[in-house]
Amino acid sequence: MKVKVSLFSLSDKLHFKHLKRDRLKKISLSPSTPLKASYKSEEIANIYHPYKQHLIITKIEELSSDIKLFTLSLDKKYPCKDIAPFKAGSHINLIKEIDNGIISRAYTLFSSPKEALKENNYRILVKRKEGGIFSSYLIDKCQVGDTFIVSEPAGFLTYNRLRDENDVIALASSTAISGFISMGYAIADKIEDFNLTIICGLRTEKDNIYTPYVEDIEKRSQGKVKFVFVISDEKSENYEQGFITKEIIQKYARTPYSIFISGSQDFISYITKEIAPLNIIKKDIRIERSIDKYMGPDINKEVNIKVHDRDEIINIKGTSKETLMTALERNKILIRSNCHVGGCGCCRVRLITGEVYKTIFHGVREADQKYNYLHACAIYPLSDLEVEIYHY
Amino acid sequence: MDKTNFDCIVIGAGNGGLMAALRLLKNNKKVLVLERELVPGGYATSFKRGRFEFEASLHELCEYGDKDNHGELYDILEEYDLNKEIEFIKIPEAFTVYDKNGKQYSFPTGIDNFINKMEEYVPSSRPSMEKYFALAKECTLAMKYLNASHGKADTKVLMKEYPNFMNVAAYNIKTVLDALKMPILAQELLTTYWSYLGTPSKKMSFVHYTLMLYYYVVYSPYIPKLRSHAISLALANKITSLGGEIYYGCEVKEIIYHSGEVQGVKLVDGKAYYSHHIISNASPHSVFGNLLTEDIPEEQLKIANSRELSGRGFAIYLGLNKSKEELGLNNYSYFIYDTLDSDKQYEMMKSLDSTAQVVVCLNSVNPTCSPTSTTILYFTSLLFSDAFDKEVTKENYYELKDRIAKNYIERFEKTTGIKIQDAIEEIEVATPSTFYYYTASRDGSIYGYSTEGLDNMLPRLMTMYDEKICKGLRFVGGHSIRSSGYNSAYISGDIMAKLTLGDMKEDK
Ligand SMILES: Cc1cc2nc3c(=O)[nH]c(=O)nc-3n(C[C@H](O)[C@H](O)[C@H](O)COP(=O)(O)OP(=O)(O)OC[C@H]3O[C@@H](n4cnc5c(N)ncnc54)[C@H](O)[C@@H]3O)c2cc1C
Ligand code: FES
Repeated sequence: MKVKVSLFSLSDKLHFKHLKRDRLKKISLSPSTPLKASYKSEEIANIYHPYKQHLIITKIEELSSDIKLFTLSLDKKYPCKDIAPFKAGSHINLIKEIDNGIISRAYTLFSSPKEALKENNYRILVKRKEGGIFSSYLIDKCQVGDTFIVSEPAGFLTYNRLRDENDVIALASSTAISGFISMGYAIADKIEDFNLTIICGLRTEKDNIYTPYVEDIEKRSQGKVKFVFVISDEKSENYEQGFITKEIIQKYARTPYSIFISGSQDFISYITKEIAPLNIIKKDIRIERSIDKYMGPDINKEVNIKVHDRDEIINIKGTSKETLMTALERNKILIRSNCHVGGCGCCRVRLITGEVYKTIFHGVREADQKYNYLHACAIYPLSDLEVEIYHY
Repeated sequence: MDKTNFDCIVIGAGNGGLMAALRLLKNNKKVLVLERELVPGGYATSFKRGRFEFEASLHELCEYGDKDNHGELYDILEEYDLNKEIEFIKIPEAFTVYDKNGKQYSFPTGIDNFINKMEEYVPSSRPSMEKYFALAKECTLAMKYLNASHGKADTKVLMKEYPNFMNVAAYNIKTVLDALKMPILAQELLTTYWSYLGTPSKKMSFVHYTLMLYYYVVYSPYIPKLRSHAISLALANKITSLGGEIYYGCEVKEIIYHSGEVQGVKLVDGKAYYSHHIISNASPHSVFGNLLTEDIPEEQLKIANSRELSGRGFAIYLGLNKSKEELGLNNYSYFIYDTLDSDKQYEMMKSLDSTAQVVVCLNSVNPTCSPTSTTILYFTSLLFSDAFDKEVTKENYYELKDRIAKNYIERFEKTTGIKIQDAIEEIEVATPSTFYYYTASRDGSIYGYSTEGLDNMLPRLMTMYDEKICKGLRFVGGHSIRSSGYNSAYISGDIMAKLTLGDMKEDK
């Protein structure tokens, strides 16, 4: 079709030609003042997502023979003025260089999110784990004044009022209660608003080291937060007996409710079976995962790993018993990490050649699979490997 | 050459940076791409939550198409053999838009279908619509001619071949549609896509908007099956296979500049890499605000100060535990406005109270994008002021995020009558702070520089050869000559790399 658009005047075509002149003129008339170095939204982003936090242990409280509460504050040697805020239920990732390499582990924050910002520190509860290098290090060696590199807080076991029910039943074993205590504080401090019933499995009465926190939270939360401890290894009138069962859950739950679960791998397998008959829909169950180990026949196999880090090549040794991340860290090659379960993607690497075992929760993007990008914290080498890494 | 010297350093592996690197590599240059994130793509990425993999940004790819009917982007990807490598899905509809009373208008692709539909909604709009698409076609041809003439367009040719283009090129949408005597409602429906460019009818160039609409209607919108991350990875993979280097987790902290030209870059970790040519996917506002702050050539500051950041982004990503059929989500894209008058809507979007939104249901065209009986739904909106910056504090950030998200979701439910709140299994909310965090884009603006007035695509392209550059430094991406959008960011990378190749010749 032929069109003819006539507009207003003969000068329309001239206007077109003048676009160039007008734009150049506009530029020449603009000021040459300096540009803004920062915007508020950027400052917020930088506060919430610091690249690295340098923290120092300022207090260690011994709560029992194998549980300690650590307070981590900002290391004044570094310019950063504020710790990164967090949502209750988040964890931080602690990184430390020790004699034979680097170790990094995620610990759920125990602190009240509000108090933490006021006092500018994080608190984490550490329990000695049998054979656990990092927990033994923290319990036995770590002292006030020791420093750590710490990631920004992160995590998926946090409350969201648009997603979760008004009532939450939180199930934990032992010190995995940390994140729920933090949620309790958040409710007591009125920065979150939901009903939280925390059911925590312990072995003996003596394991209940939480009384001061429980009392404080229950008192200030005006009935919104309730704690139930379930004791398995001895009889006691003050507590529920045995393991956490669906009956106990039903006793305290008000439907509809969401279930949050945190604990050891054994606890998670037990509890997920236990709650199955409750027919709670998938979306209302959130679980803090922990990693499954490679248990194959060739578990002691030693492998050579060729590591590309930008333009450098480093050759290291690993075994099928430990993750690629552990192998890197033992050789003092630090990459980013956060969740340590394969889900967050901080520890992304590219596998150039070789075979690996991927754990159940190793979750990469679909297109990553095509180009062999993997999460180093959740893969075990099965053969010699060649990998590309991005150091931290 | 040693390991720290390169023919060109590309700052940022966003769409523009990736494409620029490819063009240079194709010309046998030694190229280093430095990206602060661990993934390529910038906005063109995806992320996982629970059992969902969300698309971070892309709603619809423009200027693409198929073998027989396609735009420039298809040709570029073909050159690198990537149309085969990446699986694309054609979107069979243009858009669905709701007016403030919840009345729904759905438009198909294809010029005739589009015009017919408009006639149904707005009787007697046909003549003006036919004129519009004829004019649109002339505009696309004229732009091709202008681009091919490298800034030396012959006025005589333009006058003879593209007289209508010449008549309208300097005007905004509203003025031209009025001149075409298009009924107001038809005008408003036709400009539904305005929020994809972020500039309303009276401030937006007719030609710029029209090119976008025309390409969507004629070539259809597309998406890659495995999210935009699949395009980004394919481009990155091509770069490596052509011998280029991409270093991830490498934030450039400083551009080394002295003796009147760029010399290289310094990373946050102190390491330096050298080159006399830098292509930056970081915007002029980032570069001259933070990366190159001493002895900035005056005209660079003037250029930057003559421009405004585009809208700040706000997005909500939902993983729903019901199928789209159960929920009643029948369309791919839902444009929900407070008013169809884009100029009024634009003003309203200067406040956090506006809940105008564009919502995409990915499963509508990509049924396997999430597990059976689940749906991915994501919301995008823009803020045209510092409304977010004024309200956000360190203390209220989470609360503010949730509050805004809730308003958007409720607005969607109210307008469409589709209930989604009870089905939310995963939710992620992105604010301007989030967008800044993932791409370093100033103040979380997501569409480069605003395309208002003299900063739309046409004058940008027309002055491309006249604006002074900081010697050795060129910009690609949403802030560059073609403005934002995937297609424009990619194409800007291609064009700017060609100019850089020219600069390299001049060196000799
Ligand atoms: C929610 C949303 C929806 C959108 N929908 C669409 C759509 O449907 N269709 C469409 O066409 N467009 C859409 N867009 C716009 C589109 O995403 C952008 O226009 C395009 O991706 C911009 O690309 P870019 O090249 O400017 O790069 P960016 O994505 O801005 O990337 C810049 C890159 O540079 C890196 N970088 C920055 N500074 C440094 C530094 N100092 N050192 C190292 N690296 C650095 C960043 O990390 C980033 O990777 C959408 C955007 C958003 C946010
Ligand atoms: S640290 Fe989260 S995936 Fe490895």
